[in-house]
Amino acid sequence: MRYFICLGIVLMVFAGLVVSPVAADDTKAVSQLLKGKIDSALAVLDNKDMTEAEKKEKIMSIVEPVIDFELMAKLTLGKGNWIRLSGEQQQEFIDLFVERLKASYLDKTTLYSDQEVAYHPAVKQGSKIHVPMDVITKDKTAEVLYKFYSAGDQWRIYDVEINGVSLIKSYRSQFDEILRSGTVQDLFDELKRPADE
Amino acid sequence: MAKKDVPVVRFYDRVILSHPRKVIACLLIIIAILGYFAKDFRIDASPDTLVNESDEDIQYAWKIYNRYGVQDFLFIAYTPEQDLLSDEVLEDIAGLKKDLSQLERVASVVTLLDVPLLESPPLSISEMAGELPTLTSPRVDREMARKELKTSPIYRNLMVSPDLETTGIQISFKEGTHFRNIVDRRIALEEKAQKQGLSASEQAEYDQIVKKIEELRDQFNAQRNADIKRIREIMDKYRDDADLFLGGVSMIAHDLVRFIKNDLKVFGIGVVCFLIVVLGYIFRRPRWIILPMLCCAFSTVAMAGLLGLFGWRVTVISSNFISLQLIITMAIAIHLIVRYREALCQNPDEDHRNLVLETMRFKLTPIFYAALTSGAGFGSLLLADIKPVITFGWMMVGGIIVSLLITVIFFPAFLVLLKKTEPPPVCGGSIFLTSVLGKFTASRNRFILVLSVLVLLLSAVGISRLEVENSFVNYFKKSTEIYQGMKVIDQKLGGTTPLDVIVNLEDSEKPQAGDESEEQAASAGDFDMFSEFDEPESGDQYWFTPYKMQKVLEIHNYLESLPEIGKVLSLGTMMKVARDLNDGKSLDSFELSLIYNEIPEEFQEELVKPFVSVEHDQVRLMVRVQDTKPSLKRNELINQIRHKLTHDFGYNSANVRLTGLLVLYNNVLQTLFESQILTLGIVLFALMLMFLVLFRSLKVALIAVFPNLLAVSVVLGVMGWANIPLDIMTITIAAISVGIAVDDTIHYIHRFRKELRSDWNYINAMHRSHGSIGYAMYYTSLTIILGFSILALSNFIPTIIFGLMTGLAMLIALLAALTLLPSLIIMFTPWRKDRKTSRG
Repeated sequence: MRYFICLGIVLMVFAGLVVSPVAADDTKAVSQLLKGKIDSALAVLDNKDMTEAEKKEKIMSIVEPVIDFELMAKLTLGKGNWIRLSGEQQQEFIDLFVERLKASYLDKTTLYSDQEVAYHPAVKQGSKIHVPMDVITKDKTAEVLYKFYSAGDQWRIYDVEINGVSLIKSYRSQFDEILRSGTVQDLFDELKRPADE
Repeated sequence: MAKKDVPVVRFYDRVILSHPRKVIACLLIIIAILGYFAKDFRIDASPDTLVNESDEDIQYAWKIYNRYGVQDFLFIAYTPEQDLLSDEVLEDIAGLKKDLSQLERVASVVTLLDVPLLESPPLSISEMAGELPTLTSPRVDREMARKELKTSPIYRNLMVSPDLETTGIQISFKEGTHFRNIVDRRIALEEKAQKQGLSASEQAEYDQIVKKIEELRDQFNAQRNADIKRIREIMDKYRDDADLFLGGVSMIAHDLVRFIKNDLKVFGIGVVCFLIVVLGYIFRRPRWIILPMLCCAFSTVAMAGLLGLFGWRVTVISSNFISLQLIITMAIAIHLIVRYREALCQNPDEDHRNLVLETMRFKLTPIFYAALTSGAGFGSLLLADIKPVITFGWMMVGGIIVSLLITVIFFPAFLVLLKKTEPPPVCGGSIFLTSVLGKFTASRNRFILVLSVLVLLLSAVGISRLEVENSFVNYFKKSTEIYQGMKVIDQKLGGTTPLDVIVNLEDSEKPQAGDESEEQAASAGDFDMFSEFDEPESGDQYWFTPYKMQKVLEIHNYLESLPEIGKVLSLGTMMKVARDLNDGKSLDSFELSLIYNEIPEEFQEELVKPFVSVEHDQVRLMVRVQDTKPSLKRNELINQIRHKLTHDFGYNSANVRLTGLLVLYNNVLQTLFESQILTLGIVLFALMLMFLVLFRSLKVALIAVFPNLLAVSVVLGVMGWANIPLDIMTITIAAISVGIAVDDTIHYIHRFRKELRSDWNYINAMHRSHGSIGYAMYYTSLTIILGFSILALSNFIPTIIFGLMTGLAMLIALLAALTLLPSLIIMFTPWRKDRKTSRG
């Protein structure tokens, strides 16, 4: 069980990629760059000379430019809820969500190793590109799907699916529920609450 | 002696006493035919016989069982002499598992050896993906395992006792889907019947289904009994080095039937022997032993046949029915014997046939009246809303009719065939107790009234202390193996009686989206590109959010904090385990969704499906209540949980529901309590009306009610003072007391009125009544009290209570009828010489 929880975490973090928009063959380019970045992230993890803290910092520096945290935050809230928030609240939500996401996942990255990754051809989905892959550990295989969109001059990740479970959708159901029975402040309180409470 | 006879006496003269052999032959043929149907006589203690089938709660319970699955299992508590985690003990457990698994209907046997150990030593993430280690895996550290088992939210108090001395072995059975489908159909038809009625074909289908369910239930009970027998045989092989006890709901039902049947056999024979001895001692002639015993035997066989014929089952509630039938038949027979002997004493030279006719002429009316009023007493059971109680009521009414008919036909027919004997050496009037009570009543009239009021008041205080509790554990003496076994399982392995707490989590409506400001609309533009997330979430996996899990955990922790509750299993248990594994951190919605998605189907069946119905947005918390906790008050506990969830946790009352056996039994008990105790007034009033019709005097009717009121009050009061709770088996004691007590009142008043007519002197009439009918009442009570006192030796507490309380009801009824009743009669002098009373 725990394996799968963590698998998602690792892979999301590993996807520290910056992909430039290539008009002719976007899918191929996205795939190649994804592979390159994952390899370099794995290399950081395998580096025995670095401390845990250094590894985290290094991986963070790879991750941050490519994941559109702001967009992900907005998407997890959904349009209906997003427009209910004032500009200030929207910014506070983004900050809290990104912090929570990092706290939940990025901290754990250094715990994992020994994975093999099998890449599959990227697929164009309208204006977006989906990159599927299998992550194999011992006798288990997880299907991971990275979803990219073109953010002007670069391709950025807006969602990750692991075995069909979408990160955005799962958070959206959580936030939706809190807002349905509570207030925006309840949502903020929930996001501020330490995970081990 | 012979006067203008009523038709029924003429019938005796011309038919029964003229052709006794033919009458007996006809009677025996009828009894033999009924006896054939006695083969279908069933004792059924399965849980569903104790609940009201039309009760909305049982339909709901079925719905819940169907939605989440029935947990049909038995449980072995295994306490080895050696250390539980030693190689020898684990080997023994493996052997036990192997033996049990070979039984045909056993689906699985889960033991300590099968549970995955995640912290002994702690596993790395990748190790968890592979095969999980168990106690027998070479790399498992036993000491670490000891700690893990002791502290695990799942295993502690379920697989192992907190002291790690006892382990539970769970035996699950293969489930018959056919039974489930057919019950589903029944519920659907019942719901339709309530809403719009059934068509003729549907009604026919419904009747067939009801029959089929009974067949399947019989089949199931027989199979389960066979399985329990085999399991016990297997357990016997392992008793040398360990204590083993079998538990589980179906085992309780099985053992209840076993105890009831055993008591019927052992104490049935005991009661019969005792009755024979007492009858022999009192009447000293074989005929006065054989005749009443034959009446009892015929009545019992005929009634068992009728029950078989109608398919009425004797349940836990009606298990005393055979004893009661014996009492009723015996009472009629003894009254007839005493009257015959009295007639013989008074007219020693009279022809034998005339003496028998005179006996019947004299006794038919009071016996008929007594049967009628006893029927009314037991008729109070018909006011209950519970099918088995109503059935018990009809059984008693039927039983009284059968006893009455068989005794008043067989007794004179058989007696007339026998030779006349010498008059008994001692005729009526010289019994010590009756004459003492007669003198006492004549001289201490006021004292008796004051004493009666005092006793009534004391009883009322006792009644106010009465508790309504049904504890199956307390049905058995503490020295019995079954009690000890249930106690071990109850206290060490998580409790006995199941209770389900069902909560609908979706409580509020979606808020409306607010008006978009320009700025907001601009920032919302991003969403148009990602409409893929706006589609309604289709997968179950997105249902599992921390918010919901937190709600479940809150309820889970609350339930666990209640001292009377043993084990609580819910999604909360899984959350606790997951949190422990996740370094003490709660899982967020993405992690929860992933987990749900990744749990293999077989684990979902065990870990998720019993606790959640995503479709209904509903969670189920499975609780087991510790029946041996002295502080347990079931009704209060249920109300307390309900109140907490609706008031403190803020759930709408429509979204919280408690179900399971604890609730169903409690419903039955509370309904019974209301209908039995609170309508006791109605029953006494009905009796009064009956007295009014029979004696045609309001004064007499009012007077006659008091001795009965006293008998019932004392019985209930003593139970209150002695802290004997009213439970499913003892709650009918009020009706039984009225049914028994009323006999004495009727017989006494009937006789008193007759005696009064000879000299219109109340005191003399009282002495004569005490010396005649008092004698019969005394012997009837003595015979039955002594006969049934043997029940006190039973290991089954309800049998003991029944024996003692029935005896007490008879004793008080006798004393009241020989003191309070004549005192009131003498005080209010309801009959006057000038105001002729009609012949009754």
